[in-house]
Amino acid sequence: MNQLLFETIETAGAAIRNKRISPVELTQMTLNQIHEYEPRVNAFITVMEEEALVQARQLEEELLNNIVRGPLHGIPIAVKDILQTKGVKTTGGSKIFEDWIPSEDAAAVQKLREAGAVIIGKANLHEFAMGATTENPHYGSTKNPWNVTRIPGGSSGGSAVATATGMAFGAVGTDTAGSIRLPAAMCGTVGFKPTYGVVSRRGCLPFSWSLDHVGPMARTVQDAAIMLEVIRGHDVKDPATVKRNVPVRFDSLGDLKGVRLGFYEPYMFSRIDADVKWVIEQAFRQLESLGAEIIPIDLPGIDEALNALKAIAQSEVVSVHEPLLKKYGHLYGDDLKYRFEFGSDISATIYLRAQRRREQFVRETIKQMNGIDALVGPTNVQPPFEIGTMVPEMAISNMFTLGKTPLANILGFPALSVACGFTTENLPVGLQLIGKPFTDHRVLQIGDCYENSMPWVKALMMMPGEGSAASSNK
Amino acid sequence: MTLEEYLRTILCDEELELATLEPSFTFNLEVYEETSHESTPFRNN
Repeated sequence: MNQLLFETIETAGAAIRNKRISPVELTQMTLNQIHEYEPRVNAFITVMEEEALVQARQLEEELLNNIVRGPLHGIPIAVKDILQTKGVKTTGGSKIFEDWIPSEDAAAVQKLREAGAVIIGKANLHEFAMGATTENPHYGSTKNPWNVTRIPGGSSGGSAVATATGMAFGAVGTDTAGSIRLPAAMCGTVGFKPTYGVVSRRGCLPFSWSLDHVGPMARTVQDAAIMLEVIRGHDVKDPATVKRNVPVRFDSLGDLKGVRLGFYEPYMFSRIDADVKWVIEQAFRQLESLGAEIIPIDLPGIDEALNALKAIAQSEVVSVHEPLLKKYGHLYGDDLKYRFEFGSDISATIYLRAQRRREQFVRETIKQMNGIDALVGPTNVQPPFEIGTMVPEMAISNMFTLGKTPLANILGFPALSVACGFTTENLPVGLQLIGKPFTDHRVLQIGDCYENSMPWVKALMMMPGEGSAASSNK
Repeated sequence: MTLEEYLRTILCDEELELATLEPSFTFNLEVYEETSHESTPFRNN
């Protein structure tokens, strides 16, 4: 294993800028890593070997002329295969789009390239991003690098696995009910869902346009912030994006004195695995030892709001897929077929009431969070289960039973998952922080401080453990 | 090709007209503006 592939974006970027390693060398090392480990974990639908090397050569030439595009100059980054890539097929994890070669990049991909990132490949995902397991009937299941018999979480499972195994320094994912944060937690990496409106969704095949978010996945919180700073920004082609300049970067804190974290136990600890709960409780003690105060708070209307999320997501996704379903229904996986049946029954009245309920809940939650920096709790409440054990009828509820991520989507608030420890079976657990609108930098800052206080976790996260895909020589 | 061009290769015009492929409704962000979001001041050290 080449240790440089597990360094931070900051360290690898500095090595490139100081000409200790060239973009071509780093890209080739990353491709070698992919050749070695990809057969074990199936993280990619398309590895962009030729395109990546062409891009790296151009970036190398620029460096020789003292041109540095930005913090990602020469850094290999993966992109979830639901975001368009110019000249490279974009499947959405679906058979229906297997032949589509877009003529334009998605907004986030365009910004990554402008900042010098080398797009290394298109990461596997749950079909159309509509599930939590990344068991894809068309492109195969992605495997958890900590135990290759387990799911990596989803829907951005390939992105999380590529990041965890040194096959990319980070990835861009999408998150409609937890699809960035859940796989990040289950693979021992970092995932950040920005405030709704901070990152453009242009060029992303939609799932549910009022809940969809695009965001960074990385190995450290600082790396996620570096990527977010690159991909954020107003876009006239995504009417949800905001014009305000949302701050992202932060200085690391030495402690969390004065930080107040709200904890709503009835939601955060409901149906939690005992092992996972123990890990999260230890993380709470660590936050307190850093000076943070964990305060019990109430979230009135949360159950109605989460039911509203289900109604909104299902209505919007049926609206997107209806024309395709009529003609190509046979090309969808069994779990998606079941989801579409459920969504078709929701009336316009129920949908509009759900949107209304959502607004009320946002207002109420902002009030409840007065004086609170962020909500705190687990990302995943269950360890990843065995691949192949998902029942199609249960797929729709997986995101709700595996994690506590949907709350931040119905709110649209910024939410971070940061690695915080392992179950007794050596499977990663994620700690979740949910901030108020446009306090993305604050959430990242708190997460960064926690992460820096747990160097053993951080070190382990960069080397998936004994018996795992990235360390074994099977 | 663009998404629309690709869909034209697999759907007929009538079917395509019904496809909702771009955000046609966004969450009302004004609700975020109505309440103060700041709690403890942002701290850099």
